[in-house]
Amino acid sequence: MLQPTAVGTDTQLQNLIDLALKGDSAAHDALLDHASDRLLRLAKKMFYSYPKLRRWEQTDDVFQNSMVRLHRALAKVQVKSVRDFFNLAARQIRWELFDLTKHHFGPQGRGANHHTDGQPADDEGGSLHRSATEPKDIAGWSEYLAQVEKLAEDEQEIINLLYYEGLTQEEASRVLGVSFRTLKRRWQSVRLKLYEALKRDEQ
Amino acid sequence: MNNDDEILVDLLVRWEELCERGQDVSALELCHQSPHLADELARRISALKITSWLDRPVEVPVSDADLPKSACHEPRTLAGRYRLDELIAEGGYAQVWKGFDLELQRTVAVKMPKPNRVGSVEPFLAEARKVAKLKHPGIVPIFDTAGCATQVKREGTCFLVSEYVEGGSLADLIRRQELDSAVAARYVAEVAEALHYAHLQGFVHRDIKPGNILIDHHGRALLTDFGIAVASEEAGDQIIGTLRYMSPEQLDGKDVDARSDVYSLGVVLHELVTGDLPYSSVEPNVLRREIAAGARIESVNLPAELRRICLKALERDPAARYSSAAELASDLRRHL
Repeated sequence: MLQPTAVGTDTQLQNLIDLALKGDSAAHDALLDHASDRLLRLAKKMFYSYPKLRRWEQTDDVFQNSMVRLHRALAKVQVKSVRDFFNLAARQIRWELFDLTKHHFGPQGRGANHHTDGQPADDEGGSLHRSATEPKDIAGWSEYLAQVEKLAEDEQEIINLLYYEGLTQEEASRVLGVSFRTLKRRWQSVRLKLYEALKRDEQ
Repeated sequence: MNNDDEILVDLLVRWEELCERGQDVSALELCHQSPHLADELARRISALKITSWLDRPVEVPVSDADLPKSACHEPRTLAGRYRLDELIAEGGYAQVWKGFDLELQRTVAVKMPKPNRVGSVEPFLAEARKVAKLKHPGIVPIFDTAGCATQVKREGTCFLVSEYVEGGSLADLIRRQELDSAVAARYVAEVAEALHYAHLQGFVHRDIKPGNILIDHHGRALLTDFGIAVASEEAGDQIIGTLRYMSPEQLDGKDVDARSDVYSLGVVLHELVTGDLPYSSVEPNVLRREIAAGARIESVNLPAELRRICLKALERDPAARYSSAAELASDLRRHL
């Protein structure tokens, strides 16, 4: 059986794509596992510094809803291309991360402001904490996530692949069918745009 | 994009390529042919350095050793009556303490949300009010609760006091010893009977698992923790329950009824008798897929009659399962 770690190494990634396109369920499962692992990893990182969650520990309990929903959303997806799949998975991951911030840390606590359309609300999450450095708290992550949602679709695609899916720049350039140098230029452009959006209160 | 912009973009890529080779060159050096762009290039380089965390692998702590210990309170007494003696169970959302009722001089179990658990008060009080109506020898009775807002404010938390069942949970028991299949079947039959009563009162438990089945000193199985049954009424699309014991329809977010609890009880029965879940793995990604596809009963350690009962309880289609927990109990009783 294909392992989730198969995603992320260049040749194997291509094999996985080919297999998934031919309807190989194990390859599809491997892509799904990869998305689940990315969500869990990102969620743990995001909430690690948050004292309430650290006290709750047993993070799998807290993140279970998100994991199950992600699985449910992706399990029935017919892989048309690895690009589509990664975009869909990353979008789900972003929405689930938003959902976690709202359910557990939003102004009205668990269950409050449950968003169903995936669109972040600018005025929620209590975020006035702006900085382009790596967020150190939930307000910072919330702000970062909100700014990502404001990027253009093609810009989101770059961040989906490189940050949310954890692909290397070489892999991302292959998925998008662009040169390595073009990918690099676009990625720099996305980071500069995020920087401009997030830096307001930095200085 | 004007010409200067084009130059800046190229220089920035050049800068990054040099950095990747370990050469830290300044904006001024890079701009020697276009010195008027040096300040802007320096600003962009600085921005890329600040956002470089987006380029690094996402690393999370692998050990919880450096985390603060889970909310352990100093010894204290709730409502001037219930002394908390020992933390005996802890899940993602709640803790259960062994306590002592100073008025009636008896040991009790005290359940409370984990400290700072936002939004937990109302579900707790709802659980207390509703579960207090369940009166069955196979359901752990609720004695008391901090049920009014004033009390909750004074204590800083809400709590729920129930009978303390000496024998511990079925989860503890199967960790310590293998169960005889007849004993396992009797436990499940007892739980199924209590569950049927709860179903008739309009409850769906939604979190049937060995940890929520207690064994008293007479060796009788009692069902506890109806928190999810109550909380789920307003849970929207939240998936609550314990993955290993979830029914396929519960995992799929569909409406569930008594037959979902029957499925979960089928998983428990299988585990008690064979020592394993009716799935090939406990790894969540695999488990979610296997639950969605339906349980597979392949263990050779399952006596034929119990195998037949498990198969029926674990049918993927709810309509093909036992239609009630009482039916499951009757079938098990016939086997005993």
